[in-house]
Amino acid sequence: MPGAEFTETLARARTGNAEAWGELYRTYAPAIFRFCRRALPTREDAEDATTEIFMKVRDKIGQYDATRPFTAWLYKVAANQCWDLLRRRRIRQDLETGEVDTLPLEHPDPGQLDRLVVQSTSHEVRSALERLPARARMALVLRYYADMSYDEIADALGVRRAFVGVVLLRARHQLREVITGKAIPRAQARGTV
Amino acid sequence: MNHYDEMTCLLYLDGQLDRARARELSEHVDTCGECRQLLHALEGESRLLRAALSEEEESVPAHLLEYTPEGARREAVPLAWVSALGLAGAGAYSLWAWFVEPVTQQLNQAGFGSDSLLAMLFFGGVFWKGWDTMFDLTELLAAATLMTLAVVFLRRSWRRTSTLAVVLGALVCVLAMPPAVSAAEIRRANNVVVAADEVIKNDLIVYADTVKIEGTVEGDAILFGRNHTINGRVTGDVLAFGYLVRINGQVDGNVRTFSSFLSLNGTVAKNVSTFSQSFEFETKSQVLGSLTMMAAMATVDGRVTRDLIAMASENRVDGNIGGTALIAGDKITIGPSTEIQGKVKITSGRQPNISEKAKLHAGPPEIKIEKRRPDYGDPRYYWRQTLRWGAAFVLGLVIALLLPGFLRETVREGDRYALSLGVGVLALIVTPIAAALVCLTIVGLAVGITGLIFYLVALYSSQIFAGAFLGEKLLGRSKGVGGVLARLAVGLLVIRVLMMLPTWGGLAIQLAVVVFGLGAMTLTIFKRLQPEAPQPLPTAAPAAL
Repeated sequence: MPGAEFTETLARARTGNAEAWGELYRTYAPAIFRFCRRALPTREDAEDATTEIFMKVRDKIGQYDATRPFTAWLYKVAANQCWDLLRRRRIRQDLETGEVDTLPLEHPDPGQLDRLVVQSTSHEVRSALERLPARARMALVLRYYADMSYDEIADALGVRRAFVGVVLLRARHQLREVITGKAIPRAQARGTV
Repeated sequence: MNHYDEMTCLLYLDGQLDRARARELSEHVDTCGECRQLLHALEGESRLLRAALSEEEESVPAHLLEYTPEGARREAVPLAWVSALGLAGAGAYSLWAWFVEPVTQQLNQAGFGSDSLLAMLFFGGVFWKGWDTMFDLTELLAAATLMTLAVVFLRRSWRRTSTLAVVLGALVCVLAMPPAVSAAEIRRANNVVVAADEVIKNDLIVYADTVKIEGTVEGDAILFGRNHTINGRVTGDVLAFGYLVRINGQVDGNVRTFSSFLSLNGTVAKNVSTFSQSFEFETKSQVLGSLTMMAAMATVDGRVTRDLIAMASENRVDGNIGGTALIAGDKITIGPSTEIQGKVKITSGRQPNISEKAKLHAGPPEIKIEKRRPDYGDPRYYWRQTLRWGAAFVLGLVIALLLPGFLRETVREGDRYALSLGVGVLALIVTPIAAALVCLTIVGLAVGITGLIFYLVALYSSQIFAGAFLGEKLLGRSKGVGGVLARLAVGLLVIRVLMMLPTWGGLAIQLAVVVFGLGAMTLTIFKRLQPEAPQPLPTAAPAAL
């Protein structure tokens, strides 16, 4: 939706215009559905969550700061909804609220990582993603599907800003392990410069 | 040479390092091949992740793309729940009053006993008794396979716990059945004859085109085939599935038959129950227990020591009944040789023909003429319809809460009217035939009976799906539970009202509802059995919405 048209539609939607809501919904529902599909275990969950998210968006539209991108705000609402759902289900296998473990110092051999990246197909990545613990999966979806910043991810997952990098890196490690069926062999010990 | 660690490299790529540190790293990378390679690999991984996550391998459900203002609004849940609870209460009551109570009463009368609901449902254990001997490893495997399939197909939409609960429940039911005790004697041949001087000291299971028992079976006789004749003696029960069953000898246990034609010309020491097209109970024969039968044409000329329950479209009674007689049918004749000790209740479409010479010791029969046309003037008629509506709603409630995904998908399948109706007709006709055929093989008996039970449940449930579909068409789509239930209630109400149309109108509606619902259900199940075929379609990144 072009900028000017979007601003106009949004303004009408804020006044409760059903037609404008319909337009917003039709424009953004597919992306939100895909987001949920990536973050949640089943298709049914994703369908339900999508509807719920748009109900929330309708309720909270007053809180949207128009100077920031609408999609970013939309994904934030979506992330909160999905994360809440997972938390309610208690299927988060990793730490609930505790701090992230210190990263095990297993550094990949760059050559081997390169080969893994070249050889893996998108399909393999997606099916591996489905087997990750909820937080790792969610972190990757927030970063690489919703394009969220570290601040936004920290907010959505309820971790400290400083740990977002650790969460993301751990998630990548877990993903690699799932894809290869084992950890990437460590290269020679690395120190920090 | 020292290297940068992976974390720092990732932070660098994501623009999270402060300026000084980023410059430091960038200078290091210019001279260090290994760190450069790691950065490159990490960047490649980011690209791979973005590409993989933004690819669409499945389409967005059509109903999500339609925006309905009602659908997005929060539902008036309390009202929906209050009405749901009310209807549920009415439904539970009516289920009890109309189905469970009369059935238990009648079964008790017929000598089936009702130790438990399960036992009652399966003919007081007689069925299971037959199973005992047949329940061997193959059947256990068949049952286990069924359960596994059930888990596999249902797990997609059910929460893990509820799936497990259902499957474990079913497993407990299966295991609760007594295990095989004695190995029965099993005979398979074209013609099986138990000669006059032969004594089988065991249960006998026969698969044969023609079975003739001239000798003695000291146990149960379970017969599958076309023609069965028992001229000798069976000390246990007789369970016979076949086209023609003739019992001329003596049976010390119960007789249960499913046959096209049954002729009883001997002595049965316990009860007889039969589903047959034509049933002849000859003059000199006797049943020392009760006789329960459902047939198209029946002649009861023999002697029954206890009660008689006879349901047949053409029903002629001319024998001696020691207990009460419950006779239902379209054309009922009570002949001159009839002698009935207990009360006589007759339910018929027209006035029964009762001979003046018939001896009815407990007074004149209680005759109820069932009108074909519903009595629209009677308020009780409407009350009954309301309760039936409630009963259907209770089932709908259970389905909506346990299988919300299945309900939704089935309702969506309903949009393909013609396909649903076509598949429905097919399922309506083919399923019972297939199940009956499967029943004829011993391994398949468990599967076949399970299939038939599912079929009956599906027939009744079809109105739920048709109702939910109709409700949605009338009120628009809804996502909330309350909204779905409200639409279901409205849809079922409309169907119920339409079914009240006189004579053919109501029946036609009923048939249409069953066919439509069954078709949509079959389509959904069929769809779920198909493996999901991912079709990767690269598209623009979602960030560019």
